[in-house]
Amino acid sequence: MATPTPRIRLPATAKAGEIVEIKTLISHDMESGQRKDAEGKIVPRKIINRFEARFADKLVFAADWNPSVSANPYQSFFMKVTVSGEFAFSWFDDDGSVTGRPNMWLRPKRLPLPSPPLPRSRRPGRRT
Amino acid sequence: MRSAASGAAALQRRVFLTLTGASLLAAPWARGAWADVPEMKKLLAGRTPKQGGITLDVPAIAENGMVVPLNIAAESPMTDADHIKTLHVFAEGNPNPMVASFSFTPECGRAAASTRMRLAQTQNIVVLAETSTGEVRVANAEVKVTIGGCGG
Repeated sequence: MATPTPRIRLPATAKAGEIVEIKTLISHDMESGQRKDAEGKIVPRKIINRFEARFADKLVFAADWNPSVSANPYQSFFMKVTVSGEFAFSWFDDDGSVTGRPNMWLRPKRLPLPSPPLPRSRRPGRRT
Repeated sequence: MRSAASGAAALQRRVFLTLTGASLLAAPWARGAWADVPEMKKLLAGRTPKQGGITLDVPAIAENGMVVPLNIAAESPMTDADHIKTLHVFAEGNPNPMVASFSFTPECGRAAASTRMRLAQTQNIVVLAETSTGEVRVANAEVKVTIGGCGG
């Protein structure tokens, strides 16, 4: 089958402390190992068995998938953003291949946060 | 936002009805059919899960068993000391009942996840939640499946 193509939706920016939802989708047959082909032979299982999401190189969420997960698996989860950083996602196939790896994670995105308020003394319009 | 709120209310009602219905029909949970799923037994390791604290949102009727949306959320402060570690999803009537396990960290802020699953037949969906404090919670819901999602 064609190379799995992942799609990720996450907000480009977030307020510090905000909980954002991250939605991911990857194209994959998720062959369950239950299906039979035209000749009646069982099609061997080939699924993505694990999904990992990292933020600033730290694992924040993981999903272990079994054959009961639908084709083109969708996964959404939440993340409380306190600092800017890069998200990295990876999908682990039964055949050992990993999408989003090696050599850097797939489509890392920055989450720029508003800069902290200026110290009182440096705020414009204030004279001492 | 309004629809989300009313959705959540409807959901809680559904969960409530399911739970009350289950308890009225006797048979304490520990002796329910779900306890026969070997994977679940292994996970529980003799512990008895508590009802409640989990919102399990699945359609009551799924026309297509190939793609059944699944939304789960567990109540938790999600602090370092007290957070949901894992949510396990089981579909009792599938050839392989274990559907997925979601692992959370306090950084998630909210112990919620959604995915889509295959259901072979009309059956009971069970979610087990493991907290960092060692507590185990359970929730279940029945999904009626018109066209099964396995084989073919």
